[in-house]
Amino acid sequence: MRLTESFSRAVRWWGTLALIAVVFRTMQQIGAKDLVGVHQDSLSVLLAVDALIVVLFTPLVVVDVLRKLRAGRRLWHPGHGVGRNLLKWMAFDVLASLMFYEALRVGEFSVVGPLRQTGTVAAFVISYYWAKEKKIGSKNWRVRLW
Amino acid sequence: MVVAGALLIQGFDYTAADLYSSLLALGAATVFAVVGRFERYGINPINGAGMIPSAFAYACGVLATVGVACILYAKTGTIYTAVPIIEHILTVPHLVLFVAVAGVAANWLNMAALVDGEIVEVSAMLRLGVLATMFSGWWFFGEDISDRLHGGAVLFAGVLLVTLPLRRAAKK
Repeated sequence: MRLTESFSRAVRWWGTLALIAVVFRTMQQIGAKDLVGVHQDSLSVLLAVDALIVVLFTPLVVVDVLRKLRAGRRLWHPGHGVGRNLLKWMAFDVLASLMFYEALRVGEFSVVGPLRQTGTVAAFVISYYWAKEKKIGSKNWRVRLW
Repeated sequence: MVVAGALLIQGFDYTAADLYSSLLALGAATVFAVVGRFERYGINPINGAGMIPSAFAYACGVLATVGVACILYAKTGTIYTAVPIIEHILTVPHLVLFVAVAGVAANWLNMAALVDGEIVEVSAMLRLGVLATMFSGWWFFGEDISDRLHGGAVLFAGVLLVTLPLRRAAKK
């Protein structure tokens, strides 16, 4: 019964998006392994990949943000520490990315790749004890973000 | 089960070098989980900054690029070592698709999933990549995974056990 409900939640729209994201993320990691294997410079490869993603992302974001601003959405809520949050994100993401690219450079993909996916326990602890997400299945988010 | 799977997936014939890369990957996984917390806060309209998800993903991408560029410059005195790598990517079609297109799609879809799914749930879905990445090593890089299959299976089962969303049946 609980397993059935778990899978029914997994096929909801956000679950489907996350599953598709897994495929794309795996593709990106395969490309990264290809690159660090040839160039042997994790830092430069990471910069090259990030720069390309930013360039490719720009037109998509401009269109999406303009559409939402015209519909009355605010870009962010002032006073909620956007800058501070982004800076924290940057510090942690850059650290994690460097560790992972270095792991990709020296390790085998079939070991490093799966282990990259094992932030499970950390995500669980963060979600339940830091983000206080003890009530699973709230609807408020989607209603407010459409 | 997660820890046992993580150990088993290295196979029975591994060296100190394998252990180093494995520890790096596990450390990265833990830090990426913290990153997920900031992502969720950034787009949370109720208790967080409430940014538009695509804009937040983009701002994160720009900041990460700047951060990496600063580190590279501090380390080598130049950031132009990335230029030949960009040229390499742009001249190989499958790298454009895998690195750039898939990278953008993964970032955006991850944020979009976080809008409605909670961290632990979205995380559970993302962790299904355990098996996908293991088989990718065999498929794309010709690695021998025959002695890793059982480890991958244990790891996968452990990940599902810890993070699949479970809700107690309503009391009648």
